[in-house]
Amino acid sequence: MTILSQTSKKRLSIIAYTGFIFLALILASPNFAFADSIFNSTGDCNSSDQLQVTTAEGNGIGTYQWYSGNVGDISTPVGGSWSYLGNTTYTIHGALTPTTLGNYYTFMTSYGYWDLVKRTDGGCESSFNATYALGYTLISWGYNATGTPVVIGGAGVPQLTSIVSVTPANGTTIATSTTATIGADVYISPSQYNSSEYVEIAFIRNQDLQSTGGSPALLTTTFDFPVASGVNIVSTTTDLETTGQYNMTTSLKQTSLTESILNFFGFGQVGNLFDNSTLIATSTTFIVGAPTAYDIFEASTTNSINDFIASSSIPVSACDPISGSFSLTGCMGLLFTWQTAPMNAEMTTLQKTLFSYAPWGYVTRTMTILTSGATTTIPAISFTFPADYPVPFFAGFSLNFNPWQYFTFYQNFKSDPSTGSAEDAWQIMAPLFTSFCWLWTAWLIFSDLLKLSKGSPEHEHNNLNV
Amino acid sequence: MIWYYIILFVGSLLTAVIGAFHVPLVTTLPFGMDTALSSAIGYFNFIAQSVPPIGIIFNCTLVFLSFKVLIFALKQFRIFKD
Repeated sequence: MTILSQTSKKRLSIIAYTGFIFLALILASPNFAFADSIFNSTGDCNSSDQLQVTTAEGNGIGTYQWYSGNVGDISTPVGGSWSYLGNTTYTIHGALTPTTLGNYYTFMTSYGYWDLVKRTDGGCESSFNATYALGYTLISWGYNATGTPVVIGGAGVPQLTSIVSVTPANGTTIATSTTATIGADVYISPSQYNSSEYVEIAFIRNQDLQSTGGSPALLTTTFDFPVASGVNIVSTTTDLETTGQYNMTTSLKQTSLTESILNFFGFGQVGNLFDNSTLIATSTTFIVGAPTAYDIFEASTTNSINDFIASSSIPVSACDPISGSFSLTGCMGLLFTWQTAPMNAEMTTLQKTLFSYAPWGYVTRTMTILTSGATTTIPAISFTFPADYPVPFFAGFSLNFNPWQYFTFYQNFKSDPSTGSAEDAWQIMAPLFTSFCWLWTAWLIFSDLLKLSKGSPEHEHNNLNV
Repeated sequence: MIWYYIILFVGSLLTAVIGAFHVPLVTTLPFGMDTALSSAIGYFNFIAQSVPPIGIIFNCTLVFLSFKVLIFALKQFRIFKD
């Protein structure tokens, strides 16, 4: 037995105490508390009428659903209603209570938060909470034949960034107000988040879209909200006293130098074509007070036609006298009503027949190859000295050099990770470079049109013939 | 939807005419061009993926060439001639 000296004991004590303090700090850290609090099932499964689930997602605007957790029906919603207790606790009632002993049940929210609970005699047994849950969808987990949870398809599939809901909801009518609430509930997947993202809510009265006296852009009210990774519930109040139907666009955008520069020079439309500043967007409508005469007129004319076209499902065989489904009125209607499905079918047929045979088939095949996104790795440069090479060391020696792997050297240059993002050199330079290229292209086109770069007499007129 | 019948009519006619000559179904380009072109596009995609600026420059070039082709086409009409 080793007898420790007094000093060694003291050191061991210090190390032990330090370790204990570190462990306590880790367990008490916000990350741990967060992970635990989101999915802490405070279930009372023994009482036959309810189970409470506590989440940390704030005010409940999203949707919530129980899923049965048995093999094969993992995505089958059990259904039912929820009651709302405070900010974070939801209670499930009655028949929806996971009362079957041994069965697994999953609590799923529209944000991708979920928790797995198991009905046992001792209450609800929670598992798989903590860090796997946030931002991961239900489909990443399953259950084997004995009901034991197993992983399906690796570590899970990240929940995609999405606009969960908007306020006012699509198609709703709200009263006129000087403090009407405009807002959105946006979930941003941690893996898809970057610090330049923001939510933009823009709305305009439907009737003002037809305004001839001013640009619709000037009549559009726009609000921008900063966002963070995860759940973002943003809202503000605004004056909505003018009645009518409003068209609202809610977008998750990111600041883009390209767009800013192109907008500054008046090429906003070009910027929209090539820019990726809008990540996702959704368009909704709502009515303030009551629809205006214009809204009613539009609903009874343009919208009616659009609805009719969308709902029209007259088969093409209506024009075939021997098809058995001949209909003269249907056939006449087909002449004037555009139908996407038969048109696509016809173009697909042509693609497979006429356009696939010589001589047109060569063009089709060429276009297929040109538009292919497949990549082919460029072979490395290699050279093998012949076995009878006079220099002993090099005889039969192979030299291999793969220069292409160095093409991605820029990915090694990262920005300071402590700022919250680790963008490589290209990601940093891309907006500047892209803007420069497109502005240069625009300049070439304009200089070509105006003959700014030509001074010879035959070019005294520009291409616009002005 | 009247375009559907026009396309159907023209397509059927052309198919019938071309079909009468028993033309071959094109699955690959002749003379090894299929492999060569596929490899070339694959190499270009590989480089464009490795070096993103190449893709942007290529797009800009295509836009400018489209403009030149458009101007060339317009100049064929007398009203647009210098």
